[in-house]
Amino acid sequence: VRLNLRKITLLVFLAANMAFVVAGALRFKFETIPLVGEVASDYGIATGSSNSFGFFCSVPLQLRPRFFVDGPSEKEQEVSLFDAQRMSREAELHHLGTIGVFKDVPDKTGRDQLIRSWAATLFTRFPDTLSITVRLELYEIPTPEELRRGEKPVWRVVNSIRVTRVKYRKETR
Amino acid sequence: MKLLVAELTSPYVASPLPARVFRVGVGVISFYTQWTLIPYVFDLYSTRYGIVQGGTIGRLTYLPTIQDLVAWLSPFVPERASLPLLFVTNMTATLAMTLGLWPRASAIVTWVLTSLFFFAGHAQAYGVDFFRQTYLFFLVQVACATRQRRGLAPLPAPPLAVYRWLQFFLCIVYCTSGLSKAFPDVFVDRAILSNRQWFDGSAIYRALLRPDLGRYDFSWLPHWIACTICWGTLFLEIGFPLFVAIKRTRRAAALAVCAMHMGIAVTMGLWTFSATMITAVTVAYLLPAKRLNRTSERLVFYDGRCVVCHRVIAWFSAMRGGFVPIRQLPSRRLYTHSPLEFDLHREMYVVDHNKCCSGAAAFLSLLGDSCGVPLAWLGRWSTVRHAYQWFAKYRARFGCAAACERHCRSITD
Repeated sequence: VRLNLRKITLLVFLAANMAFVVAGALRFKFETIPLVGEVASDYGIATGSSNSFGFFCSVPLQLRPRFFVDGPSEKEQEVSLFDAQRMSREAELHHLGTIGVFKDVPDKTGRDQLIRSWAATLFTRFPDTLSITVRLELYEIPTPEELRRGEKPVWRVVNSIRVTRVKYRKETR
Repeated sequence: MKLLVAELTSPYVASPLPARVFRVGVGVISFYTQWTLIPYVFDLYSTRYGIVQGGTIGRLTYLPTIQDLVAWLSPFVPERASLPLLFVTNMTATLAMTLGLWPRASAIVTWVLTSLFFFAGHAQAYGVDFFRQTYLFFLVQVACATRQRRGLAPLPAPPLAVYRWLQFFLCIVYCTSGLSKAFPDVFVDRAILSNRQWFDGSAIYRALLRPDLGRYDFSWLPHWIACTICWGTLFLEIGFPLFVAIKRTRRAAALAVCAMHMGIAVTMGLWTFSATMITAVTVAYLLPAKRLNRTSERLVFYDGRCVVCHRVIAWFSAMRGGFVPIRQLPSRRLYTHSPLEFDLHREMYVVDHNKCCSGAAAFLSLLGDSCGVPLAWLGRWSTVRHAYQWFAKYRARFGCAAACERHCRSITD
C-alpha cells in the first residue's frame, strides 16, 4: 500500500465526514460539543452530513390553513396563499413546506407569529381587507379497520384565529 | 485495517462513468427544480415579500443565508434585482456543472449558492433538498479529488474511496430510515410518535390518502396489501446494508430500492426526490466503479511475427501500457521475479500489477479495456478458451506470405 499526503488527506477527510453522517443519523446534537459545537453543527448542515433520515417514520396528518378575508363592503371570502392548481408539482411541494413548518414550531408565540406572517402576505395582496380569519384544519384519516367499514377521511377544524390589519388582535373561538 | 486501506488506495481507480452519470443526474434534477421555482423566488426566499417573512422562523444555522447576502448587497442593488440575479447565477452554475464546464469551480459555486438558498428557505425544504445538499458536496469532493484539465475536458475518474463513501452513505441512509420507521420511539426523540404505523399498514393509508401527497384515491386498497408494502419496506431498508454487502443480492437490492422510489414518485408525486435517490443508488451499486488505472504499467507479450497478432495489437496500440513482441526479447525469461515462468510462444500474455492472464482471457481483457466493458471473464468459458488455443496453435497459417515460411514452420513445429 503506497500512501502519499494527498491520499492520506482524502481518506482522513472522508472518514471525518462519514463520522458526521453516522452521528447525524443517530440524531447526535452537535451543539452539545463544547467549544466547537456551533462550528460542527454548521459544517453538518452545510455539507448535509448531519441529516437524520427519518423521513415518513411516522406519517403525520395534513394540516390545512384556510383564509377568509373581510373587506369593507364584501362578505367573507375565501382566498389562498398560493394556487396549487396552476403551479408545477415541485413548486407546490415547496409551497406546502411553508405551511407544514407550522407543526415544527415548538411554542405558541412562534406559531402565532407564523400565522401573522401568512396574514401579512394576504394583506399585501388584498389591500382593502380589514381582517383575515385563519382556520386551521386537520385531515383525519380513519384507521384501517374503520376504512374497511366504509368510513371516509374528514377535515376537522382545530383552531380559528382572526388577524386584524391596524392592530394585531386574535380571538380564539 | 490494512485491507481497508489497501482497498481504498488500490491501483484500481473508479471508472469515470458513474461520476459523470451522478454529476449529470444531480445537475439535471437541480436545474429542473430551480427552473420550476423561477416564478416563486420572492414567495419562497424573500425577507420582505415572502410568504413567510424574515425572522418569523428561527435560523437553521449561523452561516450566512441568501437573505443576508441580499441585505449586504442592498446599498448597491435592490432586493428586487439582486435576488433573481443570484438565483439565475445559481442556475447557470448548475448548468455548467451538469455540462462539465469548469467542473471544480462550477461544482463549488453551485454548492455554495444552493446552500445559501437552502439556509434561507429551510422552512419549505423537503427530502430532496437535504439530499441535494449532501450530493452537491459529494460532487465537490469528486471534483477536488481529481486533477482537472482546463477548458471543456470532462472530469477524470475520481479515487475509489469517494465511491466507497457514497456506498456507505446510502447504507446508513436506508438502514436508519428503516429503523426509524420500525422503532420511532427509540430513533426519533418524540414521545408522541406511535410505533404501530409501519406494522399495521396505517402508514401507507396515511401517506396515500393525504390530499397533498396522494395522487390517486387508494381508499380501496386491501389491508393485506398495505401491510405487505409496509413490511417489505422495513425489510428492504433495514436489510439494505447486508443485501448490498453480499455480491449475489447487491443488484437485486439496488433494483428493489429503485422500484420503491418509482412507486413513491408515481403514487405521491415526489418525482425529483425519487429521481435523486435512484441516481445515487444506480451510481453506487449498479454501474461498474472499478477500472484499471490508466497510468499503471501493463505489459502485453505477443508474437510480433504473427500477422494476425500484429494487426490486433496495432489496433490496441493506442491503449496504455507496453506491447512487447516476444521475438525481441533477449531471453525467454524476461523478469526473473515475475510470475512469467512459461512458454511465451504458446499464447498471448498480459501482465498487470503482477496479475497475469493469458490466452483468450488476455485478449478479451484488452478488448474489454478498450471498450470500457469487462470481458475477461468470457475467457474462462471452455469453448472460447479452446477456440483461442486452436487459433494460437495454427496462427502462422493465417495471413502469412510465402516469405515467412521458415518462421511459420518454426512455430508449428
